[in-house]
Amino acid sequence: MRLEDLARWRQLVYRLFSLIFLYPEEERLETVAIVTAVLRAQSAPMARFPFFPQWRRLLTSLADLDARPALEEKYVRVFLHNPEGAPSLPYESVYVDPGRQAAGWMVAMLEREYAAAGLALAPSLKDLPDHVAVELEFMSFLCRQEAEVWSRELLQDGVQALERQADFLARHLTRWLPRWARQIISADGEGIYSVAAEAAWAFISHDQDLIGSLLAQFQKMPEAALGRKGCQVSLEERPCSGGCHAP
Amino acid sequence: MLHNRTAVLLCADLASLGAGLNLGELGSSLERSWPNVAVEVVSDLCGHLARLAPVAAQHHASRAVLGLCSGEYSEIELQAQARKAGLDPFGLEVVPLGTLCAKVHPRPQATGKAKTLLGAAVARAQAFQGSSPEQAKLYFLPQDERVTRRFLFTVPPIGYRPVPGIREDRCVAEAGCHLCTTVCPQDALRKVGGRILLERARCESCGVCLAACPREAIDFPSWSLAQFQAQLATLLDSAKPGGESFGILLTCQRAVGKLEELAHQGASYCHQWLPVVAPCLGMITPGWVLQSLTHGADAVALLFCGRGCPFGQGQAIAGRASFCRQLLRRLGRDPERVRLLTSSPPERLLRALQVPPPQSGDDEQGKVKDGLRLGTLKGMLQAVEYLAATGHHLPDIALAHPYSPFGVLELQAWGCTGCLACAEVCPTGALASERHGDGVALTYLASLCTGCGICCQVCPEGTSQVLQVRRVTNLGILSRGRVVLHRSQFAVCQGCGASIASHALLRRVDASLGEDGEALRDVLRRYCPSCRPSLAWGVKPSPIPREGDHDSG
Repeated sequence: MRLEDLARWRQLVYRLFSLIFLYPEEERLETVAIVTAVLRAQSAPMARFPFFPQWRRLLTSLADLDARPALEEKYVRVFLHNPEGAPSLPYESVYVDPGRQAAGWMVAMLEREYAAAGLALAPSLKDLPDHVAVELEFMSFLCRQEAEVWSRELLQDGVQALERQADFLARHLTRWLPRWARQIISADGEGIYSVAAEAAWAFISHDQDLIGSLLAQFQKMPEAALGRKGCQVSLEERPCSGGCHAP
Repeated sequence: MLHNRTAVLLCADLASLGAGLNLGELGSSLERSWPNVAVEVVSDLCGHLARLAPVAAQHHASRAVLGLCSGEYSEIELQAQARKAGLDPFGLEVVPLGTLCAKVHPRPQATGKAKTLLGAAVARAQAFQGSSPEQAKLYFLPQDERVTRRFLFTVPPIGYRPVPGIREDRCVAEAGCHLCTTVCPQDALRKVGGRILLERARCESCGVCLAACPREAIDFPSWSLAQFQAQLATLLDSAKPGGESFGILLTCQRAVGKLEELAHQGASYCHQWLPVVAPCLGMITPGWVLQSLTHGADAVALLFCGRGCPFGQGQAIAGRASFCRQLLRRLGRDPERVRLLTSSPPERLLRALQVPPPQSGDDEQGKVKDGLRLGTLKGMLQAVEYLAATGHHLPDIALAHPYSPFGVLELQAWGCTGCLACAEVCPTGALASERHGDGVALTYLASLCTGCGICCQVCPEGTSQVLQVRRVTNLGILSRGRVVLHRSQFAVCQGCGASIASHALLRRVDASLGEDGEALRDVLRRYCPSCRPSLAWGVKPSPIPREGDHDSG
């Protein structure tokens, strides 16, 4: 599998998770259906990944989604207001800073991070930058950037794109999503949000490993192969002897 | 559908490999012994692992055992095929029947041994509890060193290996335990904020942490204690072919290749050695060895990878084997029932395996009836007591050994202030506290003490060595019940009636205050910490003694 294809696939998966964890508006559900169809068509090679069982379960559940009013009611009960217990609020600061002493600062830093990448929260969202859907969408954006640099065969930029993703995952999503997912799974049982949270947890946990391993693999390569010594990567289908070929 | 229905797939080539296996007899015997097992002989299974999925689907199997010609197969391919079949690849059992049986033993013995090994593999598969996504560590298959354009922009073949997870409902790290972090050879386990965290990138899946945890709080898919227990129990129950002696060959994963090598060289050895593979023998405690002996095995051999152990466990493995041998000797048993074998040179390994395990002389009636308990001291104690009761032992045997699984704690009562820090931190509950009115007793149950020494580390009187632990297996002490090590009386607050601190502790504070501290001494002796501030403001403390209002000083 080419790195570009993998990055594009991951971009779509992050996008799908982002859409699922937003309030189920009609337009969003239509996009979910489209993204799901695209991903289902590409599912076969994914059987090699350990999150495949959770992923397959999610695709099955998405194919048989409740009608919108029922879904809206579920969304409110799971994420916003649960009359039978505490809801699983979908915000990072709730889990990373339970005392809410640095929540404002955390949110401001996230907004700055998005702005540095040339992004801003859509006014229609009317939500906070540490909402799970926003963080997932940002990862989707980073994957898209990665896919673009792979398509242009810019190796060093590709490595940097992976480093950015590893950094964002380590500082944000992996710090709180597992705890949040566990909470949803215990509260929602077999519901769509429980299935989605479990799949997101499995996927992100694997993604962190995958990115880390790819980076370690690149680190093992000769400096010259990465173009760090002013030497470009050969585009020829030839072995590199002790470095790489000048074009 | 039966619970845990298991498909057993046998490569058809096993019938003609070496002396060959009688696959028909093997299949029917397995299906007779295991009602929820379906056996299929699959042509060229080793070359076409994709045949797993249709067979698993046909039998609605949730577990699978593969009998292959050798251990040389593509693990990555097998994992992918297992996932396609809807199976957890970490629960898949592969038994290289060709190299372990068909190529090294005559046909009837090879078939008998294959039957035993497959039965144990089925038990192991059925004991598998599943894995979570966080317990899969990704690795890339090493590739050609050449760096080509295609190589640079392609994802290398991906494989996964299981890594341990921490069962937070059992882990007592919050109370102060950190034993797993001290033994991890890769420093992959860290204690952060009262929790044990695993750094997956560092973990090499050796399983050494499993042996160190006294709470069975480490969950290791593929290599869990429950799986080993099921496998060993089945081996111990079903082996004894024709009354012959048999031995358990606890084998390091890295040494399995040597057994394969012997098979490829056309060597032949004694069929009574039954291999049980572990990721590293550093995870094997004396409890495994001695319980195997008391549950039916005539001998146990530890086949370890040698001096080049990547986890540096050579000394610990040799130490534990030496403890078992010394204990057997002291109990009037044959120490040769426990052997330590190294995988190289192959000729020496072959010579060792050609000798059948020594007859134990124990009859079937004499076996311990209770199940194996590999993870706790209870199983170990039961084994020692059994060996002592049936051997020619000295009644008060005490074996001091650095690898004794039991410890003995000694408390110098003169120095103990009754702070109970030791009881709070003890991970096994060997040390505990019991309150009686205004006093508290520190109690100790030796049969739960692993000699980990955490209590000594937290004792505030550490420099005076008030608490000392020695690694001793002392049958006299082990057979005692819970005993009181120390009693402390608490001074009571004159303000509210709550406990202040033990008299011993107050005496210690007295001594440190010197001559000028008379006023403070008086306050400390008479009032608890909650009542002291109000006293300082000249307000008389409320004389309402309510239980649980204040913690003791």
